[in-house]
Amino acid sequence: MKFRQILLDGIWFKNPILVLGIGLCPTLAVTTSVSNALWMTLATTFVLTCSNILVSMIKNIVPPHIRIPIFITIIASFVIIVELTLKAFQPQVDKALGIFIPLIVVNCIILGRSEEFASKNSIVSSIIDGLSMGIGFGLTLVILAFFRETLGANKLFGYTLIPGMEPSLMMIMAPGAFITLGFMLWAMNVIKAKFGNGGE
Amino acid sequence: MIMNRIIKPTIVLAVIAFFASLALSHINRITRDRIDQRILQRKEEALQRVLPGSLGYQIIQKDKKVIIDGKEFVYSVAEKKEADKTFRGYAFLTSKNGYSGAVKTMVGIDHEGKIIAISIIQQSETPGLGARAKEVPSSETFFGHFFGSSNPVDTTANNNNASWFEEQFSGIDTNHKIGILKKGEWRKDNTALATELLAKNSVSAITGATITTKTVTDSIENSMLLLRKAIELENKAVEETAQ
Repeated sequence: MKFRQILLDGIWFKNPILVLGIGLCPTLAVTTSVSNALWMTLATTFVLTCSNILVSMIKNIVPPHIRIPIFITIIASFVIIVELTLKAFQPQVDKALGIFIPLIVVNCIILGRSEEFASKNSIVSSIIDGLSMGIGFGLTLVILAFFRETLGANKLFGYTLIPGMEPSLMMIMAPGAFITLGFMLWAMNVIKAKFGNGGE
Repeated sequence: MIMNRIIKPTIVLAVIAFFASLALSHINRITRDRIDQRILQRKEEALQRVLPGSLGYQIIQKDKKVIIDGKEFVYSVAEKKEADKTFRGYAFLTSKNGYSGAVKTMVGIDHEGKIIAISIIQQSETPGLGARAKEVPSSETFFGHFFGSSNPVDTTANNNNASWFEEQFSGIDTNHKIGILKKGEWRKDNTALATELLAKNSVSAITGATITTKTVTDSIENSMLLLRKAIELENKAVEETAQ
């Protein structure tokens, strides 16, 4: 089952953040709340899937030595589409995510998948790869944001959890993100050690 | 050789760039009106908030433009009638670069130079830190929301959709320097802290985001200099026409 393998790769065996270690900047920056993480996931997955489709479509006509500028043009166009659409129809989300939407352009997950997967595989595989990488990215973001929001702001989805409790400021700042990410990597490796590496 | 190395890549890149710009110009045309409308609406709401009709202010002149020291300054004027006296209130949009990007604040000033209210209409500060300048505290708890709350919902906390950071500016005197104290979260019901801050003409900084706090107070002070000059010019013009 090739497609099943692609799907599992994106979510677990080649999880972009925890295994490939790419796309860390938005990961650390937007995970201060779960709803931010969800919107970021949606935006990134959209851009990732659409750019994967296009890159896979034109893979045979692109001269190899100018592939990077072409990929970036495609990615940037989709990012601007997302940005303008959010600005027009979801101004609250646009306000919350601010600069991180335009910064999807430089998210290495997207260029990485175009370069490594979509430019070498069929359109259908590329769609599945885009979706699964997006889900893998999103799951990591949501788990990270869950711990940071509950511990760092004493909130979940913007609602106060325990009235009157003083949250730990460190968790909402950068060190909290690094520490939580470290714990997640540890948990992932423990699970892998126990159930085997699977996949490859 | 030349065909493959130079001409073909150029054509491919040009064709892709052409389609990309075609798509973007279409998206831009679809969304532009709505985006402009949102910005206008946000400005309008902010203006209503800083020169509130509930205090008797009636906006008589919107977006008045004057040139001061070669720079354009835009402000709005409102009037309030109180026992056959007319007081003027002013509102202006001020902007300064904060920790990341411009922080734009709409400020309402009464006839004595005291702040009526402020409203931050645009900022891109760090979420969880500087962005808390705009954060409205939710009186609902998470469990209360999903499992039915027995706590009475605090209706005083959140009636005008302003954050505590914005609310604490009401009553600050712009004729003096606005100080910044690190006192933690300002609360309406914590009258001791509120009066202490007002007596010192100071605001409480957002924890971990003194830069954002300072950006807002600085931008208000800078624009007040311009507003004072604008009012002087206005009075001069009134005198001249009276003569």
